Amino acid sequence: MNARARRDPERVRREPGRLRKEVRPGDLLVVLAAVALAVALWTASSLSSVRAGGAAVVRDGTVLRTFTAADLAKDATYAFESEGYHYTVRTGGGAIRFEAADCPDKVCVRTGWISHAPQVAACVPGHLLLRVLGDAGDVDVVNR
Amino acid sequence: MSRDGKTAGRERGSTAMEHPHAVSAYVRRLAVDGVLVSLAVVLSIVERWIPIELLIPVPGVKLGLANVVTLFALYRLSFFDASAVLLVRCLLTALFLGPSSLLFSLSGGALALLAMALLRLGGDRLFSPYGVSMGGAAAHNVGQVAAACLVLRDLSLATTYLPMLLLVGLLTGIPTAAAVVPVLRRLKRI
Amino acid sequence: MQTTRPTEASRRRRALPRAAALALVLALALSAAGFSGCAIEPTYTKYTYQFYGTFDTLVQFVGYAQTQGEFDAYAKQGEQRFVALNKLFDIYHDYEGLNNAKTINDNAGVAPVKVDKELIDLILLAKEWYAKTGGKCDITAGPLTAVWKKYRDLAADDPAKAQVPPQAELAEAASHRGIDKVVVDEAAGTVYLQDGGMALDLGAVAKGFTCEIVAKELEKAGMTSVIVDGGGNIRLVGRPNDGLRKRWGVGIQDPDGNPDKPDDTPLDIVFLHDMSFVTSGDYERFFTVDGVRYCHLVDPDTMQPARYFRAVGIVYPDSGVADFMSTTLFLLPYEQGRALVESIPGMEALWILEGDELRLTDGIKPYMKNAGGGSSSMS
Repeated sequence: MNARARRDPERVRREPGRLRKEVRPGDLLVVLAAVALAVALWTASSLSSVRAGGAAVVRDGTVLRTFTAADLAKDATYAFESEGYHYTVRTGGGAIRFEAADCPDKVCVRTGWISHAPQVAACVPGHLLLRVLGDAGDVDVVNR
Repeated sequence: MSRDGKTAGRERGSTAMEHPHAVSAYVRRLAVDGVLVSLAVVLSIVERWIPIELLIPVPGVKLGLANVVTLFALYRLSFFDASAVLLVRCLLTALFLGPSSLLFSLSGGALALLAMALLRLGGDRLFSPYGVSMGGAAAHNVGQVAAACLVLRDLSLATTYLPMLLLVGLLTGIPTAAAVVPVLRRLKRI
Repeated sequence: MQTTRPTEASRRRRALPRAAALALVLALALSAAGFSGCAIEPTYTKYTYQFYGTFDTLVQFVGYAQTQGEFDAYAKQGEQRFVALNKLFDIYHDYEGLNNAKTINDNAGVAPVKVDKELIDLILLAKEWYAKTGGKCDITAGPLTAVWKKYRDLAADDPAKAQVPPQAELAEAASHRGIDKVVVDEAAGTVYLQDGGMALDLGAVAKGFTCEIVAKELEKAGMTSVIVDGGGNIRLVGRPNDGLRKRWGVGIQDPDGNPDKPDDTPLDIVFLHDMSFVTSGDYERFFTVDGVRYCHLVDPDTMQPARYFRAVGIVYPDSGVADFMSTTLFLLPYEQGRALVESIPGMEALWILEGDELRLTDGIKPYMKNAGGGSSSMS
């Protein structure tokens, strides 16, 4: 690669170039590609987003506790412990959040309130995950 | 680290022979890679002190400072040197930061390396170090989330955070490139 | 030592970085596996499987499984059993190499017929509950229901010429009734109808009985969260495995609503688990003469379709019994039916009257959404 770069006459001519001049057309392509991908993902996930029908606290794929829509409506706090860290989870107004944690990075707390499926708030050090579940609806089957 | 005398010979064979004190290219490459590894380890540890997750509350998000080294190695050495430095850096930082960081640094670093190497294939006319670095940083964050996904066993983590992480990668890629570009300008050959 | 052309030594020196690069690519593959690995979500997904062709109705399985493939495998197993049991309980068609309900009817007054155990069990259940309930739901009313079916089919062909069957024709058909004339020899595995003019009609119990068999078999095979819905015969296996709800929600259809329109709000919702919910209604199969609706549920005593309710629903663990009882209750006046249900432990019922009036037994009320404030999170 290096050899090719040095053989590139344009590059040689431009050196020593201004930082500004170093920017190349493909750089814009990188930005556009990333933004397009981000927007597409964001649109797709917000289209499928539904108001919380419940929530679950999950550790390593195991559900520790579930909250129904009624639970989420109530103002309440719950305590959890995982990997030696302690967490306070708060519900209210149809949403849920990590309110406090003694984990090292506090990313989970800073994620704030989540209220739409499939949003999650995660604590990687504690392997703990808050997941908003979709509204399953009341009716599974109607008698005919 | 690297004993790649052949790579050195192929790419800069003539300069090596012109070198006043004919040090073996193999020894020199070993020394250079060693320096890069130590630099990368330091950067990996330093970036822990920069609380970027304060700004962006996404599990596992990192500035990816060590990408500076990968980027430099890709421009001035080779893909093989870059991957060797990356691998040793990840193993060494795991000694300092604990084995659980290995999964995150390895997945993020490897994805970044691969993305940057692919962008380098486009040539210098198409991509500047800025574009390469931004692509690498975005890929680095994707790797971090992949690791978080694996640890927490939940894919919705990725769908929720990926859009933000791709954009964040574009931003964090800029300082990385800004750090590397002057070095590249001054260090034409090693 | 000097550098230079590719030699054997330098080629060997290249091996280590190559190995490192290889290791990294492997690590990359691993993290890719990480992405796909976490696609295995801890929660189960809800799937639906539908098929026509048995019991004259749409049958569906609704349940939770980890993958579509896993769910479909169970559903196909269930479908096969539905097809097989439908043939066994069929009174209209012959099947090569199978003695079914029609074979029994064809041999009425002639000879006992050896049939599969499921058919024996079904007839025994019908006999047992006929005795327990004062004999309103009668599987030997075949000739009578056949007369009504004949006139219903005529009306379907040409509604303008729809007419009610003459009393004499009904009386002749009803004269062959008699559950005691059904002789079951369990040891020999045979059924014999003593009266040559008599015929079985298993319509009031076969569908529910089949749902019960299929539900039990699926549960035994490992499908622990599924609804077997045989068109009005709903058998709930386990609880919804979505990590959230504890009870399935069964919508009670508005008799005037369109069952195929999902937006139609049900009259109410009943929340249940490990239970059957079976309804009989006048809206299933009927014909109209001079503005009067004649449904398929015929009272063997009056020989006329019952007209007390729009629909009756039974909640009971066994789906076959629930099916039998929903027919019985449809044919009984409210007070009498309610007394009967209350005499049977573990059975609840609801009645839908003209104008969507809903009457409930006390035990079911707390589990109704509108009537009792029930929800899917009740334990």
